[in-house]
Amino acid sequence: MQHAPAAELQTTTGMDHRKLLMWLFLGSECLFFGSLIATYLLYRNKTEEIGIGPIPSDLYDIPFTSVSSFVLLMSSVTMVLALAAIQRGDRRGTQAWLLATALLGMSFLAGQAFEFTEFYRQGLSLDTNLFGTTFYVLTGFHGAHVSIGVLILLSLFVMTLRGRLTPANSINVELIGLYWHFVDVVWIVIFTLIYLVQT
Amino acid sequence: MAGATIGERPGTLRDALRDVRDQTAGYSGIWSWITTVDHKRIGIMYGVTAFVFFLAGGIEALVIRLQLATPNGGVVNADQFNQLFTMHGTTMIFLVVMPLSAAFFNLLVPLMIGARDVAFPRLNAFSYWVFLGAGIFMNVSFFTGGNIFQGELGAPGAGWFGYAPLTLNQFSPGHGIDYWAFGLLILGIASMASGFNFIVTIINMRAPGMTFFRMPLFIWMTLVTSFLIIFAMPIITVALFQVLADRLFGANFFNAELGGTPLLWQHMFWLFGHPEVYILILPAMGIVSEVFATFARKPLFGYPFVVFSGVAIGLMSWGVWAHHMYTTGLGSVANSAFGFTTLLIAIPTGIKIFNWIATLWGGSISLKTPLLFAVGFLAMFVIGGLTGVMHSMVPSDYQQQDTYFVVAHLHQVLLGGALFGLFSGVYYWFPKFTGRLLNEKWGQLHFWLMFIGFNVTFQPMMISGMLGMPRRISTYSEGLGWEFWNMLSTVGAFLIAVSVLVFMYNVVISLRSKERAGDDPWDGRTLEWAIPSPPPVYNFAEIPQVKELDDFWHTKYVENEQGQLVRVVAGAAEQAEEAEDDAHHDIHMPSPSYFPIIVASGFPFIAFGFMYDFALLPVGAVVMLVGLYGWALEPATE
Amino acid sequence: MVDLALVVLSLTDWLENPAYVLGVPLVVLGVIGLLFVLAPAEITWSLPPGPAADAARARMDAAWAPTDIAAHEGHPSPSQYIAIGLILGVVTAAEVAVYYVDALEGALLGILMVLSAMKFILVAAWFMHLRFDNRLFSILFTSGVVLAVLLFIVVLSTLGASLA
Repeated sequence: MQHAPAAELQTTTGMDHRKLLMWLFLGSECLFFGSLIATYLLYRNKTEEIGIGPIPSDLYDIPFTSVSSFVLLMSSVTMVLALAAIQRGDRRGTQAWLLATALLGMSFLAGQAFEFTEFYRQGLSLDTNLFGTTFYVLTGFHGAHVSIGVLILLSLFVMTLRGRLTPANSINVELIGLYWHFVDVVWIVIFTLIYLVQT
Repeated sequence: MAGATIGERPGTLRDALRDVRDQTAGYSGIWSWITTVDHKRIGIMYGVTAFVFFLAGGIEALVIRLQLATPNGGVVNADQFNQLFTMHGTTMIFLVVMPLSAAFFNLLVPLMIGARDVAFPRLNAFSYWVFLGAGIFMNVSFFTGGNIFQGELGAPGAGWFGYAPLTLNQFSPGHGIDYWAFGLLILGIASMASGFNFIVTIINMRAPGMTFFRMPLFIWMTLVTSFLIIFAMPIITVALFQVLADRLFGANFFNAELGGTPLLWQHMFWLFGHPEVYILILPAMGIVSEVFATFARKPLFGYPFVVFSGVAIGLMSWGVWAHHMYTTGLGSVANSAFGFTTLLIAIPTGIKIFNWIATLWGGSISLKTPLLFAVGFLAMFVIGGLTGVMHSMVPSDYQQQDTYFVVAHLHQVLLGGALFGLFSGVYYWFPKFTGRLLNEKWGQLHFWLMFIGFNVTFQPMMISGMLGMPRRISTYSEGLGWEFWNMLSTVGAFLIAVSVLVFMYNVVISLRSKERAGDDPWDGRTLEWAIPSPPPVYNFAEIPQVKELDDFWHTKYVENEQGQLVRVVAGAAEQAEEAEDDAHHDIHMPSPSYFPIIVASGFPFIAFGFMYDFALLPVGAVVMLVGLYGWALEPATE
Repeated sequence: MVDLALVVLSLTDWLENPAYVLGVPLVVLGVIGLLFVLAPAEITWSLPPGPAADAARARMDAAWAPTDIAAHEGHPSPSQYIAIGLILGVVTAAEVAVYYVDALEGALLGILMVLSAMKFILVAAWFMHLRFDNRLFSILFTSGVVLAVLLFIVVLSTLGASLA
């Protein structure tokens, strides 16, 4: 692994194969989350009209969700700092920021688990009404993306211990970074459109 | 690192090639096919598997035709009939035409752009195994979806576009629809993986000098198709998740009682479904573009126009989905708008058709089987396209909606169009990958039987449709005037079946014949004809330098002062190769890997876990995790 | 004893939501891990001392020699990243604040859309390096976003939904 990422040097355009793949994947993910968000928006006012089960304004705890949104946003900062660290050959920094990102991601997930449990206790489950259905499926898929990201971050952290992740393959950190920031921007949209815009 | 090791000795081209041959000499037997990451082997596996599914879907079609041959048919009951047409449609679209196109992408993309393999060889193998698993998974539903011991078949029966709420538990009890939805979800993963792979390959792995506008047209169509796949698939993925959430967990996406809108399914399905139509036809368009140019011995007429109209079709395919939904009450504004965009899409399609005709015009045509199929494609696709334009007119569509006229139209474009194009490609490229030509006499017989059979089957359907015969009815009464036309369609369907048998016989005798095709039997234009048949593992001994469109043709022919083509003296090209032999050469072929099949085998576990027993979920998850970690940590080239 | 019982009681109270059972240990684990990493002691996969361990250490040091890939790739510096992070935090605070101001209710939708678009663009442009990288990446991502927005605006409007 001494020679620099060979694939990068051999491509027609000079772009790394894997980075191009990641951007294509993220482009396609836009349609995935677009479909989920659109479904939520389509059904947003239906639940109140039908009058069965809780509606968003009964349940949402904006201060709490603001904090967890902030946590996820800050995990994006630690993520780029991990990239900056590995790109200047700083092992300690790479490890610390990778772990910090995973940690913030886990805090966000814990917050989501808390929120789901609270909502469920207050009478909202997947089959209660359209709010339950669309809310749990949308935020659940987002949470699944975060979980996968956390798993990869932790794997990368272990790889730095084993010497498998070094500045020579810093592209791995860049790729997970792109994924992580994407998951973050999706949450930026969700937080605004689903939590703050309610009526 | 095997292959030519850096720094140990100056690798000459001969050394490097010998090393790769040594390394791959041991690749034989079933295990080598299971672990292969060679795009040519994967392509062949895609093709053979898709053909097997084609036979399955074809048999379903024959049973349907037998049932409808006479009024009050009693071959199958209504429920079985529903399952047959659902599985026929789903199989032919997702398990036949798409994977056959994928087979051509796999076989040809690296060869046509001058690469040694695709960008992600293991991802490519993964796509195939996921597709195979999903195909088997879906077809197993016949036996496991219902209670087979009481003679009940359990396949999905809600039509290939599975409209909600018909797909919900209330109307489709049993597991059939679960198989359908999970099957399509898993197939979506396979399609997306190969879509990403081919886009990266085409953008990033073109040989030096091969600019975008020196790419063969087939490569362009592959690129457009792959983009359609990666942007359309996520939408159907979400829609399928929603149906499954409703069915398995009591969610309410399509539950009208709580305010759900079943029409949402139609929107999401056709948002995916209309690009899908072009995913099916664009590869065939790419194939016939190559065939026309080769057999007319002329460059493709108006190459940039054909490219741009292909791209335009890709873009416009996003703005026409609601023409499948005119009768759902969208309102006249929406209907008119979508009618207009649908009319517009006929323009780039027409441009292509005129360019193909102009390519043939004045060419020195050799009317071999590949060209016959390509011309058949042209004729049938024009009829299919024009009936499509008829559907774009809202009032006319109100009459035709859900009649056999629509069935005739869609088979006209998918069988008369896509499948004829794909068969043209099979006859054209068969010698490249097997080293043997398909027998010309049997090939001609295959074409004429299929062409006549096709027209005898589907033109009468236009009439039965116009006479008001609705699609998806399992039987009909006498005296409605449909008997004759239905009998004719059934006879035609069996003619097609005979033509497929002829094709299979042709493949067998051609593979057993001793006659070799040679490297360039058709006097081809594109890079794949520059290398031996069948191609060596590394494809190109030396990565070609491309100077113009149809580069290989121009190494064979030059124009003399009168503007006539003259063959270049043989041997000139080889000398150039000798001269460069001192340069350092280093060929790394990707190593075989069994991780793709391990990861792929996790998906059915997950699906069965959701359907039958959650205990299977962790099993699937562990299998996939093990596979993924192994995949991520093993070196790609050893 | 009473105090201890109270503490235990309040603990069980506190554990009522299973999220804590999952979340608290995770957070504790993460903090411990972080402290370990930041501690002055060197942490590597330990090998028994000897030449093998020395060679491994030498390899590790060689692999982690200071480099400057970031500058080579044209990426921003850590301080710029932190500045962007601060802006993001402030904008989020502004969003939440706007939500609570009754006077702004009429304009809530508009203001929130602008603010979240700002955050979206900042993250995409700086953290995802779209500002600095090959333009093709921006084109790919933008086509995904634009396609999703356009398609679903049409779907939602034909189905009669509206944001306001």
